[in-house]
Amino acid sequence: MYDHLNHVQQQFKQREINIELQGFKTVTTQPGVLQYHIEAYNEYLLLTNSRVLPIGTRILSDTNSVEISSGQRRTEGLEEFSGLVSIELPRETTYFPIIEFIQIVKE
Amino acid sequence: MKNHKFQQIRVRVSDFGESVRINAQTDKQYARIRGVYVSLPDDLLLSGALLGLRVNNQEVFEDAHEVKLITSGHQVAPNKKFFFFEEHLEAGGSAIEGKFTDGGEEAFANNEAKLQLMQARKVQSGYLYEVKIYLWLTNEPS
Amino acid sequence: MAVTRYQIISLRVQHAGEILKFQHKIPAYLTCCTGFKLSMVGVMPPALMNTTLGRLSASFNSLKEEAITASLKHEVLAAKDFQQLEVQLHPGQIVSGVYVDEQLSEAFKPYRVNLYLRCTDKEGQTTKTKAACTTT
Repeated sequence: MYDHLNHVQQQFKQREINIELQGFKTVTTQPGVLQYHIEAYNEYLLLTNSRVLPIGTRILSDTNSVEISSGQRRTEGLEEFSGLVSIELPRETTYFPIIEFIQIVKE
Repeated sequence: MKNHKFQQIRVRVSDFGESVRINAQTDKQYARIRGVYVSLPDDLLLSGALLGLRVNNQEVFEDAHEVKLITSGHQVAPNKKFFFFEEHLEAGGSAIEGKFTDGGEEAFANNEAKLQLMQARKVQSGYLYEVKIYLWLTNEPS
Repeated sequence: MAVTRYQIISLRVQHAGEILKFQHKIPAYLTCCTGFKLSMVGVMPPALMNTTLGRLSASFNSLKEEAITASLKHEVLAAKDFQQLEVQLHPGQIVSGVYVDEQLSEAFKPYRVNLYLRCTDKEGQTTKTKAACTTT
């Protein structure tokens, strides 16, 4: 079975990035607020629950950006973000999820 | 050994005339900040735009520093667009703080069509525009 | 004598706000990238002159080195010089990244973005390229 944490450990080892800390970070979204910003400088945030995000959600960071489409609502592809991470929910959304990330602080 | 990195700091401006606080951190893997280049999405926004910058609480630019002094236009080669720091500015995970101030709606006084486009984007996305502050990080000695 | 080759990563932007990811394998004989340049290919309305079209981030050596972030501006006579870079390439590894269009949707016209990477097959560089990859 696909194991997120194992995958993360292996991939960062391949990329020769030493991990100082591996943890979790969540962003609780709420009605009336469509934009959220997280500072992840010298860190990586790996999105683990893209399948619960409304289609059209955009996550923009300094190193990677995605817009959630039906094809991206799957677990396998752990999208990775770093720097200033901006989350933009679609204007028409009526669903406000808790967005979950694996947080990697690099050495 | 990694030698050069161009790190961006994105600053979202929600409204004309707004002042936005900047809080960021340089990449740990690079020793010093060689230069800075500020990119605004439209040259019209340059008029009256200000940027204050501090690195590890050391003032580099006062809050009243005009952005037009740390940017450059199309005739300048990419390699020369940067404002180079004469002194050694520590990177290595330094705290970057500062304040960006938008020059106000007057910048579009002679371009009503563009002003309307900007305002439409604000309605659509919730912010007017993003400023990019590019830091040239290096491990080369100063 | 060192050879210089320009690797071109070409992306087609078809709608406002589009996010395009890319992966490109640099040939193994190239050992060092000494510069980069972002360029827009296409015709844009005059109203977009001197405005930013989007931004790009790229990493080298299969996600080991995040070296490039840059904005793409619509300019008629853009300077032809390259931005200096010094990336020692691991043989046959991937350059990957993302381009984010940042245009106002009402003014959008499809266009192409070219990322030029100036790379050479020698670790030591000629003075012409103004950069030198150090050996590791």
